[in-house]
Amino acid sequence: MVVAVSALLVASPALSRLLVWPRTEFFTELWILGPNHMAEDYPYNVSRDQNYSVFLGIGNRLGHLAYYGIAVKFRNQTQPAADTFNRTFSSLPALYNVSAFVPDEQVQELPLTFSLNYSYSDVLSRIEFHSLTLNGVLLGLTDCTATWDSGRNEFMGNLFFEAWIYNAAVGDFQYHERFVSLRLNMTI
Amino acid sequence: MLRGFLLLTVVVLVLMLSVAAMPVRVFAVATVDEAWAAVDGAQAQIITCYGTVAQAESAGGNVTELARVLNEAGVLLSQARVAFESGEYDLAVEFSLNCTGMLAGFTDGAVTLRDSAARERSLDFMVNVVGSVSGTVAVIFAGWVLWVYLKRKYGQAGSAV
Repeated sequence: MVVAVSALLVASPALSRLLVWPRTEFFTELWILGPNHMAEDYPYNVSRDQNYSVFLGIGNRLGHLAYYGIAVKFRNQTQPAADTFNRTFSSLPALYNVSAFVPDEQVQELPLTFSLNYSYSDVLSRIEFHSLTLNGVLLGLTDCTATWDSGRNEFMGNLFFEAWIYNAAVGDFQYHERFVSLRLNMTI
Repeated sequence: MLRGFLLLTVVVLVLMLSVAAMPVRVFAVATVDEAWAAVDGAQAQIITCYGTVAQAESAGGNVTELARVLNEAGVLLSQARVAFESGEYDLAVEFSLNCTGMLAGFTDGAVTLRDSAARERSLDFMVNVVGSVSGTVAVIFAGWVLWVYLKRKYGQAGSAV
């Protein structure tokens, strides 16, 4: 009995390495939080040139260091969005690419401050977007307008973030099949 | 009078030389190809560094600090891309050079971390797996020897009684 207990005690360092439940699920978490670091108070009614803050979070559960490229895109109600069910990205060009290197089992939160510069055209009754400023970087929004959506009572703008990941075997970024978005209403 | 004139001439000459030297730095205009090469070079360096850090992580090293530096370099690369897209090629080159400058010597650090992590992992394996298994075998063998010895001793004593 004493020998068995002693043997188990001595074997425990080796057993702790052998008897580890293998990881079977490898995935990436992507989230967006409001200005108070909570899943609430997301900006919705936005004013021209007013700053809004959110937090973009990335959690790496892939089993290795990942190089993410977060494509920042902006669209109106008619432009193509990323599709959750078909797992496709939006064909719109990225306005900005956020690089994120996240070690395995770690998360990274990126504070994002953005503002939108737009004007209202009385003649055409529509919002004309001019630029998006993201963390102090001015990004042009050309040929982007928003008409009044009477069903939702809004001039809709959609700021969204697509996760791309660098695939070393291919030598390029591939869409990582997840995105988060902020639906915004432009106030006049 | 003459001395004042000479002094003024020297000052003017120095100023002219300073102005002549300035355009090399301030007014150098990067072409689209140069800007693209700089941005592309910065991206390639980041990917190289990423590969080395990934190796260090798979060897068991703590790469949190290296990832932080890579993230900072990534911000500069993103800004270089934005500058390039908006036609500000000088700025794109500047951001790219800052990015590559930040990563100078980075690979060496990552390789050092990878090698030390590999050594630590090897030592850890020797102590915790090989040592533990050997120790277990030794404990079982010692127990068996003790059992045999006690059996002989008390078994003979028991039969004598």
